[in-house]
Amino acid sequence: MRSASVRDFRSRLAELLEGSEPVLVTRHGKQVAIVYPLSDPAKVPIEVRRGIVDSVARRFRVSDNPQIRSSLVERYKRDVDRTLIRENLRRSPEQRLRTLQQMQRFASEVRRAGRRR
Amino acid sequence: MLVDAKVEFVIVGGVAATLHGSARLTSDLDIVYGRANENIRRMVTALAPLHPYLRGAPAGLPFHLDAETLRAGLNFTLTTDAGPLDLIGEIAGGFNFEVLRKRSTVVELFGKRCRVISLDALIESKMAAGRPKDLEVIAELEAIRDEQSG
Repeated sequence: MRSASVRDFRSRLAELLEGSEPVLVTRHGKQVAIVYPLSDPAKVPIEVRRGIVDSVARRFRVSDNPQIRSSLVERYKRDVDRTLIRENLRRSPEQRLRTLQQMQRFASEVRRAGRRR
Repeated sequence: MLVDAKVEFVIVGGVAATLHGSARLTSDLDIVYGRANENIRRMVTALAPLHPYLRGAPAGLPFHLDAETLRAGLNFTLTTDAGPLDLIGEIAGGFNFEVLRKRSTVVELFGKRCRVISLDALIESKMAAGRPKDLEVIAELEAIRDEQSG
């Protein structure tokens, strides 16, 4: 990840926003922001994307409004992968739990491999 | 372990969603437990061999999960030898154990019969929590309900 002080960031803004690599912005040596260029949004980690949606939603208090809430739920429903749900529904609850445990083991292996790099 | 010790609890949260057919990955087990003294005592005894400790707390704190601690609090986020475990007295929507007893289903898991919050109650609770991040979860749970009802 590239890094720049606030002053550097301001003066080299155009250059730093080139490419898809995030920039860690620091002020007096303290980390204050991470900026993700959107030239390739798929490179922004899914947790960050979820966080952005979540913080914007909080700011505009969308979940307090039942109408907005249900239209958002309806919108999200369009993106739900129903093939995975149908596959799960063919399994018993115990098989679903075993699948979750396998996914957890896999996720933890991936995290471990990431730390070893 | 909890079932063998006759602890009264209901599985809620992400694992409950999995048991209903969710494909989302969750890493902790959330349970709503009965607050009766005898139940708390049974739970403490059942969990002791798993070395429960406050999740995220620095090592070496004088924490000991005993009945008195559980009675004094309501919700506990723990790390155990079997993985992260959240003990919850009540979830959003007023779902405590007594309410959930009537709003749960029994499933057989590894030869044990466990109570799991019903799909409808899980959706209601997520709605009541009002957290933006839950909207995506609610969408999947509603999709599961649609698929189940054909």
